[in-house]
This record gives sequence, structure tokens and C-alpha cells, in this order.
Amino acid sequence: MNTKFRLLAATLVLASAIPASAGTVSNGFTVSVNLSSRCIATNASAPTLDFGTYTAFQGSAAAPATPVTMTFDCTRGLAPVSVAFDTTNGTAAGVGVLVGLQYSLSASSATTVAGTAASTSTIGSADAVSYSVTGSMPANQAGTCGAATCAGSHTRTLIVTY
Amino acid sequence: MAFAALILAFSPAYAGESASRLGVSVTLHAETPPEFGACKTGEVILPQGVAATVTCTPEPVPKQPARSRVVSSVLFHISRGTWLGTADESMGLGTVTSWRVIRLANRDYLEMMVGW
Repeated sequence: MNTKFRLLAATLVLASAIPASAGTVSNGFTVSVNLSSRCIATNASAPTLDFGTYTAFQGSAAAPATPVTMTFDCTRGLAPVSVAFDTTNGTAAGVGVLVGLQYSLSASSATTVAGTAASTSTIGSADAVSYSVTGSMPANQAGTCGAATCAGSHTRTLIVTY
Repeated sequence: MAFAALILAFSPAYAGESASRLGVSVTLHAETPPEFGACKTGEVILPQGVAATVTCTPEPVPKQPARSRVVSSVLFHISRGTWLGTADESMGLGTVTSWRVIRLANRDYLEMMVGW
């Protein structure tokens, strides 16, 4: 009798420790976002495309010793469709005039380094799109200069359309 | 309605611009070394007599510029840095009153005045 009582008591204690219910229930919801794709310029400062020294009426065209690289970060998969130059200091095609000397700029085709995709542990990175810009200054130009030497510079803008 | 839908269907899914600036610079040398390739002889009448002149003007440089000139029976042959003959030894009736040699990067030229 004593043994049966102990067994019953132990069973009751055990039963009281078991949760009243056991199971899962789910409730789904939607996560959404609209991504506006874009490109942003990433050159820290405006690089200089230097034509160097041009001697009036020189017999050969002048070209910059070093082209400049213009870089943009773009939404992954977003490919720019065209590039042009500003029309403030020249034409969209890249023609301009400095100290009476005509020059023309040209941009290479885009070079794209694919970014990395986002994951649960990283935000990923952008596609890096770059253009090499160089130019040419035709020969036999007089220029405009009231002294023996004149230096000129201005700012152009490379515009990427995507 | 259908036309509008057609236009939308052919519009790009996204359109935008991004701009990046660059500087363009140049230094113009407006003065160039004078080119003396053609020399002319002549005479001028001065109060003290008639003078023969050799004048070199900035004209297109001949491919093989002459190195010698005969002026009033006086031959001056100028080589680079060297005189061949002198004015006085074959001057005859004339007397060299003034002359100078101007040396440029790729040629020399003579400017002189002879009075007699």
C-alpha cells in the first residue's frame, strides 16, 4: 500500500511538470522593397587631363601623357547605356577650347568589375564601372595668348546615363 | 489607352544620370624660335655712301639652306662655328663697316653692312 501510494505521488508530480500543450504554429507575412537602381561617381576629386605644353603652330597633335580614369559604383546588374560630356565648357561629344586651342575628349567603353551579392552576413558590393578618358589637340593651332606663355584649365564633366 | 500601354512597354525600366568631374589643362607657348631660312641682298643709300645689306627674313626654311652668300664681291662662307675666309682679304674697294653672325639652334646666319 505504501509502495502504491509513492508511485501514484511520483506520477502526479511528473504530470504536473509536463507542459500543458506541445506544437508550433506559423503566420506568414510578406517583406517587400522597391529598389531604385542608380550609379554614383566615386572619384574622390576631379582628376586632371593634362595636355602638357603646346607650342603655337606645332606640327603634330598634342595628347595627354596619361589618360584619366573616371569611376562609378552602380547597382549590380545595372549597365550604363551611354556616356557624354557636359555642354558647359564644350560639347557633349567632348570638344572644347582652352587658351584658344581646340581639343576633343574621348571616353573608352565601360570596364565593369562585378560586385559581390548580398547575403545574410554581408551587404555585398556594387558593380565598379570605369571609363578611361583621353583627348587630342590638333596641330597647327595659333592659340590665344597675350604673353610668351599662357596656362589654361577648366572643368569638364563625364555624364553616365543608365 | 492601348497606345499609352505600348509606350510604357517600350520605355526603359530605369533612367538616370550620374556625373563625375575632371579637369582639362594645357600650357600654350605662344612664342616660337624665329625661322630664318631666306636671306636677301640689297643696297641702301646712306649719307656716308652706299651700303650693301644682307637681310634674313622669317620665311619658310628651305630643305637645304644655302650656307654662302656673295655680297659686293665678298664671299662669306659660314660653317657651323667656323669662319672660312675673312671679309677684309677680298674686300677690294669696300670696307666692312659692321656685321654680325646670329646663331640659332640649327643654323647660323650673317647680317652685315658694307660701305664704300
